[in-house]
Amino acid sequence: MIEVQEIKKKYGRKRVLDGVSFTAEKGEITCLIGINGSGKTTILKSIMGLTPYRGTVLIDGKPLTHHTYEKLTFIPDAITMLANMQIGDAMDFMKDFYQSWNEARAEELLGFFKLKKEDRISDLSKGNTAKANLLLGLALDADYLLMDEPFSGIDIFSREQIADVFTSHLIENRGVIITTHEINEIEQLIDKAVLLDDGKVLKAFSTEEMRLTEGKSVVDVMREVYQA
Amino acid sequence: MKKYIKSAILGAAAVLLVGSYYIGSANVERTLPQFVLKHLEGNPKEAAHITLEGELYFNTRTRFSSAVREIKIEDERTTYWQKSATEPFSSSPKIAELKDQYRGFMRGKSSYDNNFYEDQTELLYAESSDNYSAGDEGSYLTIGMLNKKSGEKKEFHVPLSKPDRDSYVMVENVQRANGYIQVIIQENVHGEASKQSIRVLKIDPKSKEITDEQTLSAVDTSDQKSSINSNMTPNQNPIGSHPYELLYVETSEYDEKNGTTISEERTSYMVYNANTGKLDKIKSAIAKKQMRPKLIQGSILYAVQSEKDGLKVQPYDLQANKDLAGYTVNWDEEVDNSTSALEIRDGKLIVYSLDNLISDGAVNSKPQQVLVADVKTGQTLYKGEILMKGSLEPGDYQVNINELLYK
Amino acid sequence: MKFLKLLNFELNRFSKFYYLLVAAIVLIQLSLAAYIVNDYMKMIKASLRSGQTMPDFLESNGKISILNVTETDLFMVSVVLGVLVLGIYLFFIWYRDWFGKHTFIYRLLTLPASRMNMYFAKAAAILLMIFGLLAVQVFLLHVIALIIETWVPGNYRSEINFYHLLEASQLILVLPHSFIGLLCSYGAGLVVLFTLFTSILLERSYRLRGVILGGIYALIAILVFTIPLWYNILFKQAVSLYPDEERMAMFATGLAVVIGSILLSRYLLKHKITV
Repeated sequence: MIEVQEIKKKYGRKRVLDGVSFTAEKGEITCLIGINGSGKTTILKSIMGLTPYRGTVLIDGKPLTHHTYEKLTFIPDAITMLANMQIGDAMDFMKDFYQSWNEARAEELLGFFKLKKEDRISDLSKGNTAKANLLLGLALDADYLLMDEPFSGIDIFSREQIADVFTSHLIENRGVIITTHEINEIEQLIDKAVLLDDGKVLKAFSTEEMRLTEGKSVVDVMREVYQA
Repeated sequence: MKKYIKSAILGAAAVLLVGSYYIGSANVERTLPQFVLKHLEGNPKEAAHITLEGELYFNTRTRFSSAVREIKIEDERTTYWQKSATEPFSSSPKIAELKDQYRGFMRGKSSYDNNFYEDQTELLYAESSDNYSAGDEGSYLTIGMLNKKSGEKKEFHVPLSKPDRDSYVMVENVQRANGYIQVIIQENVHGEASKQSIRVLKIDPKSKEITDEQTLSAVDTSDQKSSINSNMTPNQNPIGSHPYELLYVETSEYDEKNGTTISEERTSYMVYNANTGKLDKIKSAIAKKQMRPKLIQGSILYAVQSEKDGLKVQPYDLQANKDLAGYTVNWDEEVDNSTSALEIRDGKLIVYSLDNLISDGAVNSKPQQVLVADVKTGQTLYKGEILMKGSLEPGDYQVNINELLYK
Repeated sequence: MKFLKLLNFELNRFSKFYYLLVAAIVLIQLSLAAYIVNDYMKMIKASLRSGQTMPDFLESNGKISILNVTETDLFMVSVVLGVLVLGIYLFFIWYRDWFGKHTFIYRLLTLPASRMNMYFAKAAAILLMIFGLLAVQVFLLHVIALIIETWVPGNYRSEINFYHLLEASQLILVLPHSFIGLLCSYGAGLVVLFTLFTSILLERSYRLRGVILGGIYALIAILVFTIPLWYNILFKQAVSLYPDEERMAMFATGLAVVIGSILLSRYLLKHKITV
């Protein structure tokens, strides 16, 4: 389980996170929802140790160390490999540094996303770049995946392909935290929603429970909470 | 492993090429000229006591200064080494010894023998502030005292009243006499009315004040045509106790165009006794013949003059104020610290050449010589010449000798 | 092992520019050598034609040696070029990972290895490239000496040994004569390298404030490193150091600055760095 406890963060004088707390379980897809500037990306960066913050983040009950990166991976909205690399080079890089790199799964994803090892990252379309980025993250045997805006700015076909990943065995038994404002794409797929505004958690709920007890969808709850 | 090949090549190239450069650089010292002392006269065993020191320059004619090595020539061996840039410019073996023995006291002090006095019980130091910035304190002498037995150290400043701001004071000698610290200073006043004086300052270590001041020599140095200097004859043991000083005035006229000396005149030969404070004219053939005072050992002054049949040496007893038996040694060069030098060690008179052993890549046609003679009689005990071993490895070298050590 | 992988990665990243730099240096120095030797030979031929004797020629022009090439301004330009490019890359090796569309720093900071591996890999890459250039320079010096030996008749060449000649060259600034000199010069360079890395990390951690903090840090580091050289200007009554003590003191202050820089960098990378 990923536990985020009362994290606070300021950029200059602007308070971006103001006591955010939530949990993300293994085997669940947790979605952080909020408008631009609500702190979604900052939460993911804080979990990954990519920005300093106040508060506590625990991964399976322990603070983050560099060993944790074998089981916790971050897929940001831009690919984190060098532009002049080929996809094959990027895969070799991951294989070199990660013990949890799964070569077979990487080959499977290559075929699934219809990408080639010789493709140069700088020559890829936005959609293919997003898919290559996803490939590099999903090919790790990581327990937890953090995805930042995986659907942002890409074509509908690529979005569908990426959405298919969430229902496949590739996500099975992993804890996923995803940020998006394209909630329609994955409303049916997420297990938990965390609604954020102005660096604070307005509401966190189980989507299935909400549907069963109050008969409301995630969008319904969003309208209620954000318009109140 | 293929991925690492470029890095491996870079690493290997760096280590091999840079490493081989320094191995080559270390090994090349073997190509430097080797010298031996060739026996000409007397007892060859004397050569074992002689070490000549000097410098080798590579005449590379670049904007940078020539590369330099220190050279040491012993009877059968030549050694080269490089002085570290941080080593003091000049440091005598005695100063080096004092620094080893009294590291704390010697810390930050000058490296010149003239600034020190040592006897069985104490080590004294005197230095003029003109040798470094005095700041707001004005001009002063720094006096240091070390009790060798108890290790007690004292240091204090003695203000100097200088008649002229535009003058420079330097310490010529430090002695202990009659309970006082006696510091002999040379003061040079610059400008149109330039003057030079040698004075004795008697300092009471208890009151830390100058109790007496005596002028030993004063000359007007403003003559444009001539160089006029008050000279103090060096002592063989400048740091030890030596109450007698020999002073004289030397007037030299130079031909500036050719860089040669037209005339040289020595006058006003005076002997100073630190114990009595007396300054007397010397009654010696030295003054009549205008011989060049070279060295004092104990209370004996040795003056020299080049003559047709050799180098005339005139010893003079400063205590008794009379000449001793003079003699001529088998040496045909001027002993003037540019062509030859003179030392006295263990009752022996040692004369040696200072000329270049090698210049412009060629061995000097006239070999440099070393003479060891009995200091009382002038009898030659050893004469040798410095020769290159083997054939000269050609090169634009210059090798010159500037010191002889006799052990 | 991760350190070596990262080091290899850093070296490969810069390899194309590095080859270009080496090629430029080789081209400049060998062209210069060929030009100077050719020019000297022309002068010899002209002097022979005019009836001038060899001794007279040598009196006016001197014998040719490798110093005729190394003491030219253009030669120093080629050396300074290497220093300048690597000096700029010292900053670029960090900033290139932050800027641009593909922020590679995300990847480097989330590798399952201590972030200090990345830090030391960048430092080692710079050092290795510096020594690589030094190796190229040593090689070129031998080639230049060979060019002179091949083209110029013996009587017109200085017979002073190659290594002794180079002692008097301005090249001793980057290629000291002795191995101890090399260790001292490049040891001081190491102090500068780690100080600058720490200043960069301060900027990357605190942004605008970090620029000022980085500058202050660099100033303090230099002052601490050079304490043995200036302390008795400020503290006139302080104990004077012997040359060997001064050397040891500088080694100690240099080591203190390096350790301090590494520890501060470690803290910044672990707790303060922000992407």
